[in-house]
Amino acid sequence: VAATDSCKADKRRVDRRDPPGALPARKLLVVLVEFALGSLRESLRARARARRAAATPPAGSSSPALRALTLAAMALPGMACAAELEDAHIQYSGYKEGGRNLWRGPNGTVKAPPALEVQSLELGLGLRLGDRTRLVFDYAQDTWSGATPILSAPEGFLTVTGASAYPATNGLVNRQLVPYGIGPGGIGPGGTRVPQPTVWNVMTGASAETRRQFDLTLSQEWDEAALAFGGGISQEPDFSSYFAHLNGQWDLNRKLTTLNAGLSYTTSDIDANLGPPETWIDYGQYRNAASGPSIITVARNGQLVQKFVGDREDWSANLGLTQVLSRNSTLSLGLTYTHSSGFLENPYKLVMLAFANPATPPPLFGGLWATRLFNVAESRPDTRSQWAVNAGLSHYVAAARAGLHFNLGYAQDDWGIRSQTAELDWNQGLGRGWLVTPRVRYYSQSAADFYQPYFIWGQRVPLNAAGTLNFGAVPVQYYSSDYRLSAFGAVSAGLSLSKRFENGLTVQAGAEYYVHAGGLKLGGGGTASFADFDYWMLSLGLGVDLTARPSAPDGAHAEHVAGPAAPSSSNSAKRHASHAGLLAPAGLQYAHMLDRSEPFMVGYRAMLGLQSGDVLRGSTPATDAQIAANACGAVECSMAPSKINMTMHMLDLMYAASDRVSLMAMFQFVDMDMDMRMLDGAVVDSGGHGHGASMSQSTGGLGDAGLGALLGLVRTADQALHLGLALSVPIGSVNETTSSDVFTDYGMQLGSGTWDLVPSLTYSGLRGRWFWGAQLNGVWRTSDANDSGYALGDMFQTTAWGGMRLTSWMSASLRGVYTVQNSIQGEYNGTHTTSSPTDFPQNYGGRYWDLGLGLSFALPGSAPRGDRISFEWLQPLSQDVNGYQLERTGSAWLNLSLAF
Amino acid sequence: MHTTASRWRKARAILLAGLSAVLCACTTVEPWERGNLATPQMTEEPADRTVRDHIYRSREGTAGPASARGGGCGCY
Repeated sequence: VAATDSCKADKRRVDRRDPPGALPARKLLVVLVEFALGSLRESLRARARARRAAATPPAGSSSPALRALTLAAMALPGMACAAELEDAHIQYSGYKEGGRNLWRGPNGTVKAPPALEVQSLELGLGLRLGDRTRLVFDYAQDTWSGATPILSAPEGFLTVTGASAYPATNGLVNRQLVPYGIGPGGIGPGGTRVPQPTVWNVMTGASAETRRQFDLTLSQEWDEAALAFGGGISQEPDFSSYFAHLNGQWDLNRKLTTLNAGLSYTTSDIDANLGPPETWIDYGQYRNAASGPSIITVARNGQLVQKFVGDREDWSANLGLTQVLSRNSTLSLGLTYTHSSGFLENPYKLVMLAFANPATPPPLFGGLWATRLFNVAESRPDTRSQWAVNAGLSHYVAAARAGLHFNLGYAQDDWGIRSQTAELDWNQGLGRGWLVTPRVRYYSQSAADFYQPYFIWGQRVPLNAAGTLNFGAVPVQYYSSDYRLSAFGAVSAGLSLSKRFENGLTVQAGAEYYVHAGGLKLGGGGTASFADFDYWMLSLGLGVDLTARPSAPDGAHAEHVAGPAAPSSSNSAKRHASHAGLLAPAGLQYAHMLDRSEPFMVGYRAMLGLQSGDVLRGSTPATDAQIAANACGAVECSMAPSKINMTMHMLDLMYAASDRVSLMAMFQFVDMDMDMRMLDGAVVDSGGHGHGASMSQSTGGLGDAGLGALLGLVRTADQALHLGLALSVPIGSVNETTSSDVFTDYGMQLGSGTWDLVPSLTYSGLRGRWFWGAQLNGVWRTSDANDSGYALGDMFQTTAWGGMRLTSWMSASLRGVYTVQNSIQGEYNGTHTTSSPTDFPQNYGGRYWDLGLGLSFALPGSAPRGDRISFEWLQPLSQDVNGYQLERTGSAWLNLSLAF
Repeated sequence: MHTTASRWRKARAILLAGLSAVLCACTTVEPWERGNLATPQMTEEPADRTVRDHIYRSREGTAGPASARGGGCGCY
């Protein structure tokens, strides 16, 4: 309540200073911003306030420039006070598959592909817009890499080329359609043929891809009802979804009974990159289809690639009931109907269709029939309807202080899949905010009617006039070998652990192990073991509940950072200077020390780094001919990067051990996307099989972690000097590979791979409206080579900034940055790509001048604390790169810091 | 040996017992008696629930209750 009041008071203060000429613009901005936030009620209030403000005389004493800046800022109190941050969370999770039985070929030469891995990050913010209105923002991204099954086939129908297994084009079967393969004696005249019916997966390595999802939900509560609606988008290179959802809840019977209902809709565009045309795949049934999913061939960056395009829609409706049974038990029941239509195929899965011809040519090898094999894209019905019911019982076991949650689910659809789910969670309270939850889950499903590991018929091959497969005459219309549609069971067990601190911080960790096996299907009859696999999932998260924070210590930050510069005690004045760093630009690290008045800080920093445009040689653009001839060492470059985007999310934790020593821990999640182009005159070299051609690459996952301390050296009434020393712990990967399983370029690796020292020295000052500072910082690699054979160059940076507080809650800054980074030492100790300047160590590092423009805002209602959100844009002024590099176009920074 | 009729009677008895348990409960649990139901053990889901559901959805044939709410292709 106090926070809301101070927010309102702040708003009134601003209103009084409001120049009358600004009103229409301000009104418009406030309305726009608040409409965007979806709070009509707040917007009406703001307009009423604006009308009141129109009657008050203008302040009229400030300079025109200041007034213009203030004017621009005026739009923000409406938004800021309308939305008050209540809670936030960040969660990392890693997923890794294993346990697959892989075929190694007759001579054991088939290479085991890298396991599928997914690295995910999820962020959430909960904002209160009014007494009973909330807005929740969620962001999730996942990067997946590794190999996945593309089709399954009996051993007799597989061949080996180099280190890879491929489906054959011809095979042999006996009269019972059992596949035969080459036996002892080889393929020569004395060779034999033996039954080889065991089914294996053919795996394909794919280039990594990153998906990003944004979801916004607005909810409103009443005494006995609640309504939430929202929507979002999910974007990945081959799949874009747009979705909306609406949920209602109604409490009856003095809240003993709760009814809920929901409706959601998703529309998705599929634009899957199937890579360059391959002779062993027949996409005939979809090629240039007039309606529905279609496969088209397009030229991209001088290379022919096939695209599988289409769209789909999903509707889902659910009804639910929760009933309080006793003072220790609740029962919940749910019913869900889902209808999907359009492109329901998995665009990357193939199916082997086999035709064993009993007539011609005459039987071979003592009665075996020649069999033609076709590898085609799968085909599923254009619609799917699914009903699902679930029942759950939750019981509080008072003797153990535990919550027992038992859920049963059953679902069936018109594809023939029937599934059962049972899940048991034991939520054990351990006191002092600890909660530990062991859980088990069992899932079982029958196969879709059109699922088979491969399809075989004893009949003449249906060919059309051109001699290719006549899809209209294939005996079945629908066929899929996707293991998701097979008959299997899955058992998983997991453990989640969480600890909630009294100040509103929650940390959590979770692990799960999951086994998928045909043999685990309920009642038996599951698909053979070739499709079995398992996975591990680990997660780590941190949550903050700002409503649970203890009230701020009196005047901790108020008078020197957020409030007007007022005379204060000498003790407070000293803190004044140490907190000048709080106003430092968003792109600057190690600039802010804590003191014991609020000993914890949770910070979130995000960076988007952009490179596009010309490839520079030194400071000037290089021609394609120069790049080709000189940038790739002894070989000739065929490609160059055209766009590189890097994003970094960092969790920044700080603790004041004393007023002079702050301890820090930093965790990063990074991802990189790079687009390549062919250099003029270069020879086109098409990539291997799999999805995603080599013209774009992505990586993503945990970056290096940092541990360190800031030491206060000098502190006067308005100036401070502190030393920072951090150690970068190499937990980020330096083994990222392309789809061909060779090292991707150096810049795409997620960490440095070396233990690095990161020293810094920061001077900062604050007087009246003005603040300023300077920092020297560097990165020193403590070894010459990481596990992959190289070390990134050392880095040195110097920066100076100045800024002004424009209002009590907003400040602006300007800074200059000079950076020197050395080139990479050593080189990869394994096979790596060699076609682009980014593949060579000499094309890294350089000397850079940047100009930074920053804005920083106190979070509404946080005036006594110093919670802030800051933004900064770093604009390159001059670049002098080592070797040949794509020019930098700038970087955007966001920094949110919350004090505890 | 159970006849169909006796099975039906048994099912009906179980159903009635269940319903009467529900209805009895409705009249007895006052708001101040719901302290146990409001504990974190009863109300909180582990934070990794969403990511686990996303994985189940992309690995299993059943779409799940929140299937039409984004989630992407998951087709790897």
